[in-house]
Amino acid sequence: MQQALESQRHSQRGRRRVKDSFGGWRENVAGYLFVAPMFIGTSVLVLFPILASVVLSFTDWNIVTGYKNANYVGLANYQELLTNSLFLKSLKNNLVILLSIPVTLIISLTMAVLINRYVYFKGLFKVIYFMPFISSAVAVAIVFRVLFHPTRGPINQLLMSLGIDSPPGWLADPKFALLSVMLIMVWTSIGFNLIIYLAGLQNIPKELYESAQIDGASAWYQFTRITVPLVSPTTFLLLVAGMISSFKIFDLILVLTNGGPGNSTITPVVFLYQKAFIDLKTGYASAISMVIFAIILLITLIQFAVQKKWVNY
Amino acid sequence: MLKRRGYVLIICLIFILVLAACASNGDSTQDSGKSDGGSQANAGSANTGSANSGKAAEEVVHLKFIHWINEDVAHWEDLIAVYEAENPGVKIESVPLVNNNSTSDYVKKLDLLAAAGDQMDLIMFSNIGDYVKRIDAGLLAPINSFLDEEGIDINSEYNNAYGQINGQYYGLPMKSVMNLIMINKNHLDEAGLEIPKEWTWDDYREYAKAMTTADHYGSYLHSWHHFHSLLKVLGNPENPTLFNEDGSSNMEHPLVRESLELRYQLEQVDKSSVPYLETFSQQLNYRQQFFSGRASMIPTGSFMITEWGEFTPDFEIAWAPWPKNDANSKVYTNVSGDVISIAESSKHKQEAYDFMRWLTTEGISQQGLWVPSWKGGEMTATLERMVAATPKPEAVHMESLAHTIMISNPAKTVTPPTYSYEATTEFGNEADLYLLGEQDLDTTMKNAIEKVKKIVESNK
Amino acid sequence: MFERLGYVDLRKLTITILMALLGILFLLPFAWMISASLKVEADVLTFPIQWIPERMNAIENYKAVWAGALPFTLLYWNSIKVTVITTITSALFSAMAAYAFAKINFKGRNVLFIIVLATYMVPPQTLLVTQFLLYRWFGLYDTHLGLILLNAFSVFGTFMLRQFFMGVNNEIIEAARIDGAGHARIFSHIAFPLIRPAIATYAILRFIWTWNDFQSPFIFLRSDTLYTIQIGIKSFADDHGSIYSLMMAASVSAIVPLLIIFIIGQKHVIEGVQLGGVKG
Repeated sequence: MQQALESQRHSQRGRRRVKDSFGGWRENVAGYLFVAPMFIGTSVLVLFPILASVVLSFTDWNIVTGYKNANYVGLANYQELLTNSLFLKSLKNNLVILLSIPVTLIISLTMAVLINRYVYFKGLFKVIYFMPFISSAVAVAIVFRVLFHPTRGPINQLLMSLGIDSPPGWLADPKFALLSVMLIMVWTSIGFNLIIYLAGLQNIPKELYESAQIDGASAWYQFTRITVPLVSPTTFLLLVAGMISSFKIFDLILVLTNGGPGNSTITPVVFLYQKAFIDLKTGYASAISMVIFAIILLITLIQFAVQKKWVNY
Repeated sequence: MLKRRGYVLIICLIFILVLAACASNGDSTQDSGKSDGGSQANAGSANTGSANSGKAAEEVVHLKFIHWINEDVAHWEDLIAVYEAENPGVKIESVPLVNNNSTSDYVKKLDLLAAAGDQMDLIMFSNIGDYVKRIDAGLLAPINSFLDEEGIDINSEYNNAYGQINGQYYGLPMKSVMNLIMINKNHLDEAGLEIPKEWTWDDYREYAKAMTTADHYGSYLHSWHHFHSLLKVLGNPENPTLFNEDGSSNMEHPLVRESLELRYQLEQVDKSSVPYLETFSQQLNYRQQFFSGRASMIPTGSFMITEWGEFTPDFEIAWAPWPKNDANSKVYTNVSGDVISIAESSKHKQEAYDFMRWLTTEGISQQGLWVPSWKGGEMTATLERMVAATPKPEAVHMESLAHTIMISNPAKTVTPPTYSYEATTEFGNEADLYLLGEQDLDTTMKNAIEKVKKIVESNK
Repeated sequence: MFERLGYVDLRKLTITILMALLGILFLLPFAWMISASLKVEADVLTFPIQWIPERMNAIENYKAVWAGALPFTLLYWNSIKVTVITTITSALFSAMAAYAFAKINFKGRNVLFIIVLATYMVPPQTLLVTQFLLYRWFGLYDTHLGLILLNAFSVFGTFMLRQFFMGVNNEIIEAARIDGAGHARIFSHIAFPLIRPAIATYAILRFIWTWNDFQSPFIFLRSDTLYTIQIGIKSFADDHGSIYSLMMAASVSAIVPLLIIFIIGQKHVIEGVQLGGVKG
């Protein structure tokens, strides 16, 4: 009886101890300390400039003249922006580009799965498919320009031999330039998504697959019922990060088309760059980035809200 | 206890941020000189602090000359040494802001340095657009007072001084670039043609047709719409640009439409010029096209006399003046070039002005790299010096070159408004669609005129 | 399900061949880079592309890059120094923050995470000018330290590692807490090692991104002796444009460390330690 009571008190104390060290102020301190380096750095180097940018978006600041010459203009920048047809076109273009993210992820996951279990020379393939990601943007642009050559490039030669008389002009064709840019974007980012998926795949225990195989499950079943759900945290990461990045893609477009032809490949960031560094309208450019930010934030928040439905941690 | 720690942390954070905000505000309201701080690694022993505190005149004056052309190409140090020998009280530091001679990278860095309040005395610009924008931004100092004191008229000294802006001149022209036609002499001979001495655009078309063979096109026009899609406009003696003196649009001038038409005819009708579809989609390199013999003629600027890039031609280069719009007129061509200005924040404007004058007259002639805007120089001697420095001087047909330079008259210089780049880009976008066959000429012109008008309106 | 032909799995073989064919497409730009680096400049931009150079200029090109006017070796070393330090720092800071966001229940965790993620959503071009002025004020302009700090606080890293930390089973952590371990111990001995594949992958990415970064050194550095290799590559230009053959010779030389890091890193990804408590 005494012992039972004692043990009960022990376990109670144990539980209380557990509760203490699992919550309360010690937990908070630990949390803040762990987050501190990254957060402080980001606050000073990124958050503060963003706040400065917000303030500047209400002025007509021009970087060359300095802070003293910034005049408050209220919402004028935003008004002009939201009625600017070129900006609206760039937004439209970017929304179209968003569609390429899920396509990229599907392709990357499939290839990750194939490389992980269904090929010889795994290591070699990983390197090969990763190459575009580390190759010089200049090289990528030149190679694709040749591939997409309107009359003498291999793609159109193939199309013409199949009987299509006037195949698209691809990068030089205002109707197809955006699609061409998207194709190149998908192609370059496959490597990146691939290796992150490969990392995610490592977390899935082989036993699951083996027991499924023993039960007679097909490769497709294994893919859809095991792989896809268990890799969903990674998919979520890549989806969110991918969509955010699509709004920031800059170098590739600059070197491929510079927004042309006829502004058919202009994106909000390219527009921003032109306004900020070529027209020197820095206040206006800050307004542009605020609008871009708001849109990305909205899309991301939606994704976070919906994640419970399909992401398994 | 912890809560307090957490709050202390947050308060410290806010404090740091506020400090940073105030400090950076304060920093940029200071002028140059002092705000350099210790963060600049200056070559040489520039005592910028003491030089800028405006002490006695015996102090050596340090000037910073900001530009984009690296030492290997321009040999600034040697040139500066000559000036310093004759002017012991002045030391000039050549500051190339980029090492790849890229003017777009250059202006980006220039703007950032201006925003940070760095010391600048002399600033060079490669084109009038960049220059005008920065006058507007208050970066440059007017030089009329210096010109008057020296007693010179800028337009008698130089042949392409940019016009006045709000009644003031802001810079002196350095090199002058005029337009001309480069021709592959082998192809000329093969087609049995003479080097043109004066000709019209109709003649150009005939020549292009005659020189187009299975191996090469007769002509090449680049993706620069402001140049190759405005060929006839560039030869208009009254106004070779898209804007009038008062800043209004010149888009409705008939020569604009005719220029677009001319290009379309050359590429799509005569098929004697490389089609725009190919030029754009392959981002063709005009030097590659000409020097490898894929195009017989190329309208270009006089910088091509020496700037061949990596190429050495295996043929002789013949030169012809810019074709005329009217058979009975003289030869006119748009003249551009670069310009050197004095920074508004400079503490030694007079010394900067003196150096500028020397650099744009004797300095550039001694350098032997570019055609000077200075009228006082000896053109033939300078040309010979320039050509002698090319990889293959015998490839330059001197007679036609000298003739071309002599016979060309500068068109009137119209200072473009600050929004000229924006407007020209819009024009280019419409030209894209026309040359690619997406829309007809009427629609193209209508859209372009409207768009440019809108830009002019919004900048009033 | 398996059709074995001796020791060869036929399905595996077929897929291998198909992937190899597709792989050729993926190797094209790199092949072009190598090819261009061997050519005489005038032949680089011919059409159609001369995959095998008609005129070999390899020795001259590589000599011009490594032994020419540019202090290429110094730039290489600068890049190595900056990139390695940035990668280690960034991985550490991001992992710490990610662990906290995933496994420590502290007040304001979600809000803080959204704020951090939000900073990722602003186009970096906007921040350039303010960051430039900040750096001037802090005295970080034209220093390697400044360059390192720019990329040492990665939101993507934090986000990515958070996802992977969230996949770590809570029971292990709770078991360690009951044994009296503090978060520091759990982080260093349990959680961090458990997501080794993710850390290795992130380290690879961060290394590549920092190594290939042109914009940051261009804007935030001034001295020739501090420049990194990307600036060096772009400097093979003269007043009329890029000299592609030299640029590509430099680029090919610069890709080698990336390949090495990738191969080494991938080994870690595969050999990530799997403790029993991860899944299932």
